[in-house]
Amino acid sequence: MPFSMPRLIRPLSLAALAASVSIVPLNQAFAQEELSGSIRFSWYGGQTRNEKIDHMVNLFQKRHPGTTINQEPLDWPSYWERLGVQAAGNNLPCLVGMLPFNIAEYAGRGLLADFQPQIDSGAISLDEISPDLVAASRWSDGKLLMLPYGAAPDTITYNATLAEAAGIEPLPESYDWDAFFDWLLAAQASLPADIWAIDSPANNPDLLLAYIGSHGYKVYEGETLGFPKEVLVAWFTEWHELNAGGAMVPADMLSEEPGAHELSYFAAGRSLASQRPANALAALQGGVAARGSGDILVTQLYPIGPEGVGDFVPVNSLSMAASCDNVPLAAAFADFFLNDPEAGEIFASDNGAVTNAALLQSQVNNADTPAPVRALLETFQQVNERGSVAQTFPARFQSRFTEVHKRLVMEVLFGSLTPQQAADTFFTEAE
Amino acid sequence: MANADSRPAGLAQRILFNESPIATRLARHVPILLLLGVMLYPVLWLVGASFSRGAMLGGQLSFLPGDPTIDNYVQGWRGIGAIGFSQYFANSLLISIGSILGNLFSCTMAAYAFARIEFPLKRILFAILLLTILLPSQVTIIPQYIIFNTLGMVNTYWPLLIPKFTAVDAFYTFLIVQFIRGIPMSLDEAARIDGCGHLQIFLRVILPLCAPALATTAVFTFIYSWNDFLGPLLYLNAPRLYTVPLGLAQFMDATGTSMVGSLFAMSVLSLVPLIAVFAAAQRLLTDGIATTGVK
Repeated sequence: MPFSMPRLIRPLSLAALAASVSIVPLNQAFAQEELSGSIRFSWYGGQTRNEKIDHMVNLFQKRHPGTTINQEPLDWPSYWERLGVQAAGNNLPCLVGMLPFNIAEYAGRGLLADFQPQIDSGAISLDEISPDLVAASRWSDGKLLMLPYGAAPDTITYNATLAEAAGIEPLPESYDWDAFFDWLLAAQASLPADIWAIDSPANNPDLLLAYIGSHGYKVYEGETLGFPKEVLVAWFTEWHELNAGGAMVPADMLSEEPGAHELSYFAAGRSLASQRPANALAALQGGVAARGSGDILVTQLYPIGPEGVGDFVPVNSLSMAASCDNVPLAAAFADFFLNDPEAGEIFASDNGAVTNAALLQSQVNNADTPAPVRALLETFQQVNERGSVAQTFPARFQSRFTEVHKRLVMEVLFGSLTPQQAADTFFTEAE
Repeated sequence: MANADSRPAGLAQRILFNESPIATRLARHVPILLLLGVMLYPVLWLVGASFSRGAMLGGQLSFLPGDPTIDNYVQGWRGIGAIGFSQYFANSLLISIGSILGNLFSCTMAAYAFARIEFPLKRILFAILLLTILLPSQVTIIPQYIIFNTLGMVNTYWPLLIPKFTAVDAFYTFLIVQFIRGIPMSLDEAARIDGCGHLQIFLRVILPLCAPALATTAVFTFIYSWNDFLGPLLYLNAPRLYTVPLGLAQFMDATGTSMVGSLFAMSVLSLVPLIAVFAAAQRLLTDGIATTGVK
């Protein structure tokens, strides 16, 4: 057959078309061939979150036949207890829930894998996640040991209905620490008997972290405290004075307070304000509703200090065990957890505001997003606009810092230590 | 003896001198009933809260639910995802029964050996056994976990059951040893004259007489296994293997929304087997602690 260009054009163009059409399926087929086997995935949460993640896992497994995500859910305190033993026994699940407060215990022992190779290969995309959040998720050696999925900025949450009924002015959008403490003392004068202006400053360490950060200091510099003792003396003094002014829930009551947000004195209407993570608003509002009250709770960002904003934003993250024997599947599931629109819709910011900007906007735009979740998302957007402070925490931060702070606050409130003595003790025990 | 006419006429005196049986009974029983009320109040509150909408979040003192509902039971029984709470009950039951069989098998044999058989280093070994009672379990957690992980047994029930078949619960061994020591040696000697060896003496003479101690061991093992949280927490990863205490913990979420009503409801249900077992074995339990082998 003589050679003829026109006769070749048709088959060639058809072949090109076929090839172009088949590229994506071929890649998918390759990807699906790569994804097989199983991984273990462990996280902290309760029944509601567990059911959501169960749906997400089922969706992922449906999309990737031949893969299994073995779920290992636990409640918060039990989770860390088991994770510590699993780490000691070199039996960490491939993917684990992680927080900046806890990562040092695992990262310092080389138990976690760097996600950077998966980012570089495109297996995991961080395109929709704020570079600041990604930077804050890096360990001191620069390795990316956490993938941030749920930001839980802390707020001053207060009962707007109670404030209005008592004639208390709402917290302004921008205010400093002095204004905050003055607001609490002034509020107490207008509140009914047996209702206090605020509960405890030690539910979690975030308010103190913001106080330190807003004075221009790091909480830790390596293994030593990064702020002067005077800052802590001032901090304890503020609470001591609030307590002396009758503006705090009494110390003997605080020592008996249940841990769950719904069961807190704040949810029970015994205090006007409380420091709470923004993602606890749904639980708190549920606690208010459970006692037959229609009170509305609102959130306000933390006060600013002499050096500006000091908020540290705890971000719930995923980490990968260095011992993980199925990295492709772990990476694919982590990417799905972070970026998949359908997964994001199922999870609905259950553990902090979704960090993927596109999913965040989609949830904000969704009219069906419940009010407490919307408040969380908007708070996170405000924090992003206002800025936050990155912090790194040493190993055993919870026991060295959080628990010590909690105990010393109570000792100051009970009057067994002066603010100066409490600060001295803190510096002895926290370093 | 005092003259009746000279006795004072007050209630206390009448009670003291047993003049009014009804008054005496009242005076004795009212304080006891009051104490019973104080002791039972938390349980009654729990039961009331389990039928309450919002699970008495207001911290009210009354244990009567204002607007009773069984929703907490229905929701709680659903469990996690596809795993209902009945699965947790079945798992707890399996582990508890396995633990009872293990302890009865291993502790009785170890106890017989210590009580009736002479062997080298017996006293030292028995002292070591008693010392293990004083050893906090936390000390052995990580080495034990590493061993079971190396054997590939994590996420199975074996780490919770195998130790029971190796007489690690020294308290029960000690209890049965003391019980066997109360059984006259003449019974063993009579059996030996009839041609019995240690195994037959153990099975035909000692074991039947140890029934109260075995019941005590079984009941306490059941209570401990049923309530054990740390063991299942460390060794059971998959929710389908979870026991009742782990299942209950799933209702609490420090980082989100807790389901307190379901927690109360399932807590009430989790008490039922404990109360049933305790009630059924109450008499034997008392005998096991308070008596010896021969009546």
